[in-house]
Amino acid sequence: MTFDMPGCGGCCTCEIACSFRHTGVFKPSVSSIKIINREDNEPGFRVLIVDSEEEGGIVCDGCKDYEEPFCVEICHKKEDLQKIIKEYLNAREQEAKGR
Amino acid sequence: MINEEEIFGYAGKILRVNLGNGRIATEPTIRYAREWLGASGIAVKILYDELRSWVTPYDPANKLIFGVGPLIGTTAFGANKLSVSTLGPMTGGWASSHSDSYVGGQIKYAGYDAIVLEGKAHSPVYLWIHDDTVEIRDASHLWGKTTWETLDLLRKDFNDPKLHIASIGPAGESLVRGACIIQDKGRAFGRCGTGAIMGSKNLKAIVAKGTGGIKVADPKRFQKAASQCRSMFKNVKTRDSFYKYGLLSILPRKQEVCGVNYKNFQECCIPDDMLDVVDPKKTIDKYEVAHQSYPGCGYGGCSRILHITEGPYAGLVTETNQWETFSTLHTRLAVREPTFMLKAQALCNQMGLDVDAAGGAIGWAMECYQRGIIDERDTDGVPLNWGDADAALEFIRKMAYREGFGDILAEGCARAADIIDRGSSYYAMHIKGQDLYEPCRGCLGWCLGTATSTRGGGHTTGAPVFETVPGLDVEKTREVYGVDNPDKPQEYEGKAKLVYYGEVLQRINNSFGVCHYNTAYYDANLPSLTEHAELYSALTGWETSVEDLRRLAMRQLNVEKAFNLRFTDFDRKDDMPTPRDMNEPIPSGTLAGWKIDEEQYNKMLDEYYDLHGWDRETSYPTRKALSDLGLKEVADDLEKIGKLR
Ligand code: SF4
Ligand code: SF4
Ligand code: SF4
Repeated sequence: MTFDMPGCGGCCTCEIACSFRHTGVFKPSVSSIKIINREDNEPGFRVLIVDSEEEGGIVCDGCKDYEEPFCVEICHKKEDLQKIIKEYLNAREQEAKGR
Repeated sequence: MINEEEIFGYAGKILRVNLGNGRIATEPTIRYAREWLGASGIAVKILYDELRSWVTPYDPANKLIFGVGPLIGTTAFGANKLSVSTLGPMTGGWASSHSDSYVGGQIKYAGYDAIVLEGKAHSPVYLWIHDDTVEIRDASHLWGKTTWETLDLLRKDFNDPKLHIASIGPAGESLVRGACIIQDKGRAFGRCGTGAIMGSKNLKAIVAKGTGGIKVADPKRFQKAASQCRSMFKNVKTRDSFYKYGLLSILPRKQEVCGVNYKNFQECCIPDDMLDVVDPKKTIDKYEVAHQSYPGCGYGGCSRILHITEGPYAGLVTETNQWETFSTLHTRLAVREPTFMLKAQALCNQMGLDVDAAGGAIGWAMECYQRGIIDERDTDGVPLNWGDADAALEFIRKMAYREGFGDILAEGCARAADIIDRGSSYYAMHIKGQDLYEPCRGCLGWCLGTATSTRGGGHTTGAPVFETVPGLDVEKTREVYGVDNPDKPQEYEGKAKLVYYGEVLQRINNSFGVCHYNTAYYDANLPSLTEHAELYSALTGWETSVEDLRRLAMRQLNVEKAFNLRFTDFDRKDDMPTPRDMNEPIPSGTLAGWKIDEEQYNKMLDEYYDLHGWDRETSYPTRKALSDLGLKEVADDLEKIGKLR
């Protein structure tokens, strides 16, 4: 699931933090969040939240057992990323209900 | 037995690639890590031990080392600075640079703490690293291309729009002494000419992808320390403007303290009417299209992507430059077009040319032209008047391709002045052969740190930067740096001590891979050695104190010094500011009339040598100083060449 995030600077620190949350090791290749280029390839970034394992990463669970998601905690644009995670969780919930 | 498996924080292996015979091997990092600490520490040890005294910079026997610090790839603040070290063509001695990097993280996730490049490829190649796969690949289709074209081509070849690379441009290929390696499009390993060494090895680029992980000895402790460090950023007064404008936010303060390079250091501030015209903040506000940050940055980045939509450079999309480009090219050459800084930096980055090497040489040439020392017969018919942006850009290009007069400028201002002679060397503003970019007059800590820097004229190995940036927290700075007068840049007292602390902190930053601006280098409220010691202990499981870090940093510094003594004739005279900085008072501005007092400078330098246990007369280390640091063999080496006191 991808989201626009105009304030994202592309630092990818969220990827590092997320992998640490899952594995206790810094290993962004398994992260549930991936920072990707904009679709039109203009400057700026989009956020991909892994919702199925085919996307190459652990499926995001919203860090539900934690006070604050690891990715959000480390992001300079906390509010923006928080919103994205919420949207993602809502969409997943809707999907589950629909099934 | 050394157990390679047990290492934490480090990836565990050092990759050795011989480009001449294609031999690829690895060795365990643990061989070095305990005593040589991180990126630049391991590099100085390997270079010192393995380069014989007959090696010259472009010799295939020279080695180029990329070092990935232990904090890189983790969530530590600002931990993204990949390091590169070698025997450099600019000073002929120790060369080491750092740059914001994604590649660094990838190299580490692939399993390597360093890449030692040896020998010379027979034809252009690039290095492809993908976990255990390491290949030397043909780069004939990339040779001759700019760094921007190289990135685009490689992204196409790999069908990966997120591929990150470190490459050289035409300047590195043509062995321009100030050529640098560029990370992607916008981040340079500035100074020292490491790009020319890469060019001399026929190595066009390094491309890395890694899928592995970095283990932490005590994850809970590390996480706690890392988030505590991150929370320190809220105490930085200038945080918001730094986030928005990066170092370009410091112009008003620099103007106030006479810290701007105007007309090749003839003046230390710019005319007031120019201040408003070139105001870089306005340029950023006007053309900003996206944010740009790098792994771990505690500010959330200090950069922007700009799209210039009008004026002579309309259409250019590029990352914001930092203060250095502004001071060393824009104001130094007295250019008034506000977007020139962006164009000049973009062109330097495309060419893989250091902005300071360009500014130093072109600034020298413009001053020589002003004084009638050179004229159109020297300059390929091009008048070199102050403020002529077109001429400046033309000579950046000519330097990169070594065309005409550009071939002389490509040697750097010190050598160019030797070639032209005619009394021009007074206007070549350099330390140890490396071009300067910021005034040393009026700011003594900076001056001492820059003049004594082992890599020559550098400000990332000792010079304190906080003296002349906005938002100085005097109390906090006193506490961290241990001097009473950090807010008095024109006082000689305490500066040697300030530089000593800076030498340690900046070496630790460089070794760990941490951005200086994320530390007490920039603002004393940010992490300093105390926080570094805690993070490193938690990460590696090796309990490390501030005193341990001091000792490790001083070991590095002394070996850098010994390295210089082996390859150059540097001594006390080379730790002096330029003749202009020594002789001329500041001509205008708030410090008008202020001049460096030679006697007092020398006293300050004596104090600096005393702190290190180096001989006052020659600057050479004493046996005792080296033995105290466990460097007896280095003392023996220096004794053999008559450079031990
Ligand atoms: S941490 Fe925030 S700013 Fe950085 S890449 Fe992730 S979402 Fe973007
Ligand atoms: S919410 Fe948690 S699991 Fe999901 S991307 Fe963020 S850190 Fe990873
Ligand atoms: S402050 Fe700027 S240079 Fe330093 S890590 Fe952040 S983005 Fe990079």
